[in-house]
Amino acid sequence: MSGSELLRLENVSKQFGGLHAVEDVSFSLNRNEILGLIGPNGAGKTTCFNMISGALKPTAGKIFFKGTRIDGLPIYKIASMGIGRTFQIVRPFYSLSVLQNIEAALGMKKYQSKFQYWQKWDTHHTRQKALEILEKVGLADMADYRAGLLPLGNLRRLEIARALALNPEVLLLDESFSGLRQEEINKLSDLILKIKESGVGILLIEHNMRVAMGLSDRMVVLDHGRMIASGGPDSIKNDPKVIEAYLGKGEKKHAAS
Amino acid sequence: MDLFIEQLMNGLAIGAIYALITSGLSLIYGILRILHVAHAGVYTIGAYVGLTVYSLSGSLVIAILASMAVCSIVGILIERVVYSPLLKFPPYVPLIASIALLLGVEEVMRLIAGPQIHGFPVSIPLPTITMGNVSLSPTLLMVYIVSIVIFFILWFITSKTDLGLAMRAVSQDMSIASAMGINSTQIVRLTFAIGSSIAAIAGILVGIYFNQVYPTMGAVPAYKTLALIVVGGLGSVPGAILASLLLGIAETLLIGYANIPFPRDAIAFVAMILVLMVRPQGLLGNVRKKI
Amino acid sequence: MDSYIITIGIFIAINSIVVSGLNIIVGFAGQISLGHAAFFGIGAYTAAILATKAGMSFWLSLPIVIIITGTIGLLMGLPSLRVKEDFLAITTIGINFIVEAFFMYVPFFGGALGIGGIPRVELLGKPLHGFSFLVLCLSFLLVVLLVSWWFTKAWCGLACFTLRDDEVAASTIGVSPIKFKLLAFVIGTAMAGVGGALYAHYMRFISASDFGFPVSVMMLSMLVVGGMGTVWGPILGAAILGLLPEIFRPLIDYRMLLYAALLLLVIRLQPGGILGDNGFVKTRLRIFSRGGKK
Repeated sequence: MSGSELLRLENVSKQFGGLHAVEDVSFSLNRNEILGLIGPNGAGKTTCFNMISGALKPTAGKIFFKGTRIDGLPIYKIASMGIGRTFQIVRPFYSLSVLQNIEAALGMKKYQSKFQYWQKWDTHHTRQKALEILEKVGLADMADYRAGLLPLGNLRRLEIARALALNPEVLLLDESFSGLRQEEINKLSDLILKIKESGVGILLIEHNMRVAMGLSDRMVVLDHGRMIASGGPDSIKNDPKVIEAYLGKGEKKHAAS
Repeated sequence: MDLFIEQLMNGLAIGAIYALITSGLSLIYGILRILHVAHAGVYTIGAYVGLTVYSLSGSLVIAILASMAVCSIVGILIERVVYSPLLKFPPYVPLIASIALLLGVEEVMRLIAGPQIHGFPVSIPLPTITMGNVSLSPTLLMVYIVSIVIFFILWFITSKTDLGLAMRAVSQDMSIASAMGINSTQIVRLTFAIGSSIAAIAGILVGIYFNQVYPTMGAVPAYKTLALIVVGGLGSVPGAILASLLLGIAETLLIGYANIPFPRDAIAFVAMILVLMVRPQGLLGNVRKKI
Repeated sequence: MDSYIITIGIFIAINSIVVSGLNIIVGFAGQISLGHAAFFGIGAYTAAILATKAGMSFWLSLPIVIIITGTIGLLMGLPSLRVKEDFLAITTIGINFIVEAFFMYVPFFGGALGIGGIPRVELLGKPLHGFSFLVLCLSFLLVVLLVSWWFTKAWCGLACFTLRDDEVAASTIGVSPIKFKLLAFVIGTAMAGVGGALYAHYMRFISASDFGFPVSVMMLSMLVVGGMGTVWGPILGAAILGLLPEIFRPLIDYRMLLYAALLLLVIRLQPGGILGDNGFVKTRLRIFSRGGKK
């Protein structure tokens, strides 16, 4: 295991009753890397995310973060170790302001402590740090607005900003480009590339093939819970198994639009 | 042994009455996911209306029908005026409204009819059945007969008719049911009407069986029946009925026969907490709603 | 000062303390508690027993009251980890009934007759009653308000707000739902316990029915009317619902009805309470705005 490997899944499976949502999946994620996790609907991508982030416990297999086993740990523990995530259906803290959403995430270390959580959060220092993060995602001018009132595009950026506030080493992005206009997609892509360059390993679930292929350094393709292909975007693009998975048997057309 | 059987019969009767109230509550919870605490208020109104119409008309049948009609209207009004606008808020909002309604009903009844206990003496055209040393009074028999009839009708409606099918569809998913052409609003109102009518009958039965009608008669059933729908399994009417029967028997046998010095009314809640810890989906429930 | 006014003042003060505790659980952490009166009762009975059977002074018994009530509150908070929303509502109702039954039937607590002969609170050898007792209550209220206010300023308060808004999202930023929900329950119930101890030494006689479910409803109503999740809400709610029966004294027979009608009206029209988010004060008077512009 090299020093740049952040996340490793080993033979991970998840079964719900008789349904094999994920079967024997193994891959790893390194620093400064974007790994695209793709596959048709129901392939098991979000289930993988949920197992990595702690929302679900694998029925078999192991998940490692920087060499430590994390499968089965509670969500908050995994978050505190340095893994941030966004959600497919955004989950802002709707009664708090945009700024307060970020400030809340900045308290991550305090929440793990025995008594430090009695300290004040509403300080100039915290506010500054939160504003810096909002600047990075371009939401600084909306800082004092109620999070619950923001449009989708902004909320997606808020989710990413909130995950960034954890100073994560791994970032799980779940369909962050869904429902965005092309201009927003471009801006978000730039942001994600910058995050990657700062040393973070990013795991990306994305339906938009052009975005996924454009951003990913490597890709893993799931279908019906199994890994059917992995490799660089070019090899994936032309892989007949991948094409078949998306379009069904008997049609050999381009999967990439 | 005779005492045991007698208490068992009593317990069954009380359980049957609980079951009548709880089945309506369960139907309503199933369709709107609302804890209709005010259901006990409807039950109280049913008892009073029944008593009044009976004293005016002398006919129990007319009293029951009138009471069912009045309570249906009250139930539908509650749904339209109080619950409907509050559905978009977190569930404790309609719950508090429901509790306030129950309080209101108790007070209105107290102001109109006075706080005293009214008797409900009815001569029932049924014999007293004697089995050895155990005798079953006419009122007891009436409770059995009426509840069996009601449960049969309820079963028939919910599983054998289109209405029942529609009710089940709406309780599964209201928007999909509407998209399939079911008039969900109508179904919801019908459910309230049915549930409230049954509550009315329960109120009259209680009034006659215990010979007591008073403003706060709904207070204890209000919360006991909540515990019962949890024990039976949220969303399951048969579960509610089963839980009610079991509770009736347990209460009566533990207190009336075994003389255990335990507060009778707390049994339901202890059972509920046990169920939540050991088998959260209840006796017959399916966990459709996330706990 | 008119002793009548003092009496009302004391009730409002004690209720404010207890409802502030409820506010931490319901308003800040977003958990349902329809059994808060049980902890009011546990505090009262603990104080009463320590005073009458162990001869302890109020001041000595106070830390014990807080510890016992908070510990039981911790245990009662455990269901909130497994069940949510209306399940939790029913569970807390059940807890209320069970605790009340416990006090009513276990002979040590005096059974249906309750506990009487509770001595007054003594400060420097002098018994406090009337105005001096009111000042005592107000002092405790001040402490409770400070704790509530500090809670909103501290990270633990922020953590609870996130739990209230979205528990799953809160977990993903490192907030342990268990830790912070239980924290809220412990603090909230401990406050209720303090109120209970004051109540016991004021009434000098308590019985199980003082802490039944209707009292929990009354407390939740005070919180709803005054405004959940705000520091001043509990006081406003306690004041309004405390003064209402007095204002309507001529209509005393209709008092419960009016109270039920008021509760129904408020919850129907302003579910966030008068000081709450969509409430009268914020939308019309535009003050105390929390959580950003609209």
